Amino acid sequence: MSLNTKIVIIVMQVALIPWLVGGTLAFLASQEQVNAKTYTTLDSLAETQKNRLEDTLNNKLDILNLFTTSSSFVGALQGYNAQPTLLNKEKLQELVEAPGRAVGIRKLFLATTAGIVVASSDKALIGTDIQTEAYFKRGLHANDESVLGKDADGTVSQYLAGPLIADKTEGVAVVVTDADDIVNISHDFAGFGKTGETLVVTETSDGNALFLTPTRFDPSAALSRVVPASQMLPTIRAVRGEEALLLNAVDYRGIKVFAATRYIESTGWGIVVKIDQTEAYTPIRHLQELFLLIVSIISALIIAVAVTMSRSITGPVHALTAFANKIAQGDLNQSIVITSKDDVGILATTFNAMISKLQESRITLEQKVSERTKELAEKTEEAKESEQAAFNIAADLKDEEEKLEEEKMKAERLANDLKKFKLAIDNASDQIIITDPEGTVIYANAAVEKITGYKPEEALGKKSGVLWKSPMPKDYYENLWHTIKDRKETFIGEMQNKRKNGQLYTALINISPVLDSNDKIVFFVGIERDITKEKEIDTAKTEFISLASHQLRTPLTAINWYSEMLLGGDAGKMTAKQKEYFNEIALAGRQMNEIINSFLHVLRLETGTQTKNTAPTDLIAISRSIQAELQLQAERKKLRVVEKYQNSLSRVLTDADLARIIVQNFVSNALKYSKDGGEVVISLENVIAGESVAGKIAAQDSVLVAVHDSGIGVPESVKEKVFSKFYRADNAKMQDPNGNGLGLYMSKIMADIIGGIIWFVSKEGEGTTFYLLLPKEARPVV
Amino acid sequence: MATDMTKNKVLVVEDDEAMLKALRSSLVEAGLTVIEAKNGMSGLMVALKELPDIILLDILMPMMDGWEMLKELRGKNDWGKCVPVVILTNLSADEDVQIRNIAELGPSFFMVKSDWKLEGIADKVLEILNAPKVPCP
Repeated sequence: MSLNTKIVIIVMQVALIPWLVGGTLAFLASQEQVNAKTYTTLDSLAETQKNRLEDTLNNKLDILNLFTTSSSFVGALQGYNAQPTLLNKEKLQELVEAPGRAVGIRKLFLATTAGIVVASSDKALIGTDIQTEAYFKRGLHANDESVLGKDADGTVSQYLAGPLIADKTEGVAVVVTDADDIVNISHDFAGFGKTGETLVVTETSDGNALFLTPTRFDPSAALSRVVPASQMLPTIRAVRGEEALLLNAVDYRGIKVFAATRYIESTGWGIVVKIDQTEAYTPIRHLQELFLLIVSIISALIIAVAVTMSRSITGPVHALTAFANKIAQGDLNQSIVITSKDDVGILATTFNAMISKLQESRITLEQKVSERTKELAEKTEEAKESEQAAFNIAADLKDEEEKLEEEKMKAERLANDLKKFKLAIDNASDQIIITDPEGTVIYANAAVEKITGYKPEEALGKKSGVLWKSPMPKDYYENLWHTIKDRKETFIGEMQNKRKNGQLYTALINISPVLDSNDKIVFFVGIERDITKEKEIDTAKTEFISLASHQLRTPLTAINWYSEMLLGGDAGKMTAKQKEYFNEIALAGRQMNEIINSFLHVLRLETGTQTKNTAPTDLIAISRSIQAELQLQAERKKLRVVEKYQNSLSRVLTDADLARIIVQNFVSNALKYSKDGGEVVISLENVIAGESVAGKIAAQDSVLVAVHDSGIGVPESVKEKVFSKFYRADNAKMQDPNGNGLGLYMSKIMADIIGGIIWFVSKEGEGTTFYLLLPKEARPVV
Repeated sequence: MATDMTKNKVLVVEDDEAMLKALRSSLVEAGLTVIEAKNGMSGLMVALKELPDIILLDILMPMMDGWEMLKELRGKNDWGKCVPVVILTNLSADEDVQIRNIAELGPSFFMVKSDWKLEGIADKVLEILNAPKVPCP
């Protein structure tokens, strides 16, 4: 090998090795950087996807909760389980059909705890057995939404199932909903590049991972493709609850990927967010190419330099050899110039500088990598901490039952004293029972048999009511025992009982403790009355009110609203005649409504269900609003309405609604029974306690409402009947045939309720003044 | 009355087809977008999905009645707590104790159907929508 070649090779080695080493280090550093960046991205994507899925699942759980916590659902299923009649079944069926297709519900069905479908929006399912279905098994214990299923047409549905619990589990509600939302989340590739994707998997019974959604590269994967547990792929790790970042993972296609795994605890689903390594490394591949290019250029440059340098070294050597040869041949007339050795020194220095620069850059890169790694570690730490979310621990409080001291001896002694009353009590029509402090019956009268069907002897020695009791809510008994045993007071209440023949009846019960001189309970006396009949009548009355209000008003509302729409031209323009007739319908509809309202008021007043809301009330405001409401009526008869309100009129503490109805009746009557062109005066004034007004003396500070008309007046002979129900004076009937005779009757009862006094002063043919005296601080009479 | 066009979605929950049709026609005429449900259960679900600006709610309905729906809605989330609800029924205030305690159920109003014209109901809806937001618990 010539000296020339040797020098070139040495120089190349010296110059290129640091370059290659430095370059490789730089490349590795940037690869680390890419890894770190990919990790961070995958990690945050995985977290986002997990959150999105969890939000969606939570929303769905809300839907399921609507059904499982619905008292209608639970009650109806309980009813059906207790009595599987056709009627109860129809009720259930009506319930499951009600939601229809709202918010993506495909099917809704109810199954018994044995897994038999009893009601279903998809009728084909009724009667089928679902006890082996995973969703049923899970839903029987707790709300579950982990199961997806494929329908006959290939669409994927989600099965939400949860128990319906009354006192015990009555059955399972299953809601089948669209799974599009889940699929859409896994198929949202924004930020996922060309190969990235989200896999959602669940664990099969044999530990494999089953795809729940189609994958980016296998559209038919949903619910069919399985990753075997034997391959420790990211999907398997995910369903096992591992939340990790995986660098050298292989995906289900056998391709090297970066992957982040997540686990959804509520459903046991695994999530894998991944991207192909080749795609992730695209940026550094460019760097790699650039690096090779630079290395080639620099190599070429170095070779050129080396050649030049070797020449500059060998040149003088050759020259010297030639010079020596020439000298040997005796040719001394030669001279040679040898270049300085500084160039080599400079070259070495340059290489040194280069190496140190490369070293520097390597250190910087290493620092960056370690910083990123640290950040990543911190983030992972934070995530872990947040996972340690606080759990609510419900503490079960156990009620400790108090033990009572036995006092049997005294009870027995006193029971002897009862003998003298026995005859009277034996024949009482109410059921009378006496028990010891433990509630064991020591006496029962003859009425027991009449009411319950059990002979008094049958009841003796048993706990009171054990024969005829039908279960009441737990807190009812707690309250009963607390009242009679702890507070030692009388308990009065209603109770559902059962006769010997199975018939239910309502009893009004009254239980009192009997105490000795030391305030100790010696026995209890219970009196029971069968109030089934009374209750039935009460119920009938309440039901009638409901019927009247809802069943009569609803068709009436339709009549009124559709008349209004026709008059408003909604169905086209009407002729004058059509308009006139529809106006009559509308007017009659309004009158009908007023009549219904009056009936309702009367019913409420008579059944005592009228409630009262007392508040400081401005009677002037009420009077003005009534005046405005009835203005049209006044104008029609050309009546002048004069309002006389005292300055600084006191507010009264009363029920504004009731007061308004009374005054409205006064004004409406005044307008109705006035002659055309007359005058109606509404006046409001303060009255001091003891003051006399229109023949009455105010018992306390009050406000007086007076409505005066110059109308037909009340004939002397019928003055006493004016406030009677349905009563109408003959002259009133002639003036206005449409009245119902309820207005003043109601006003009187309402005035009583709000503690007011109502009366009138009238002269036939001249006019009438109605008065309402309301105490400023109204105290109710009732 | 001018309508704020950003707040105009009304959910009508009503099981009676005749009532529903009349209400729909009148509310649409008032410039509102009407969505519907025929019982409390689907009403609740539609409400939570569509987030209407106001809800007209009948009481006596099959399945889940208006009260149950209102209670569910108020307990559901912050939106449900604050959306104004007009109880539109033919029961009257004394029939149902709950109507008397309506204030406890968030921003709610009560109207007896047969006492109101369609126009009056539409006006009331617009009035509530245009009113300054009522603070809710």
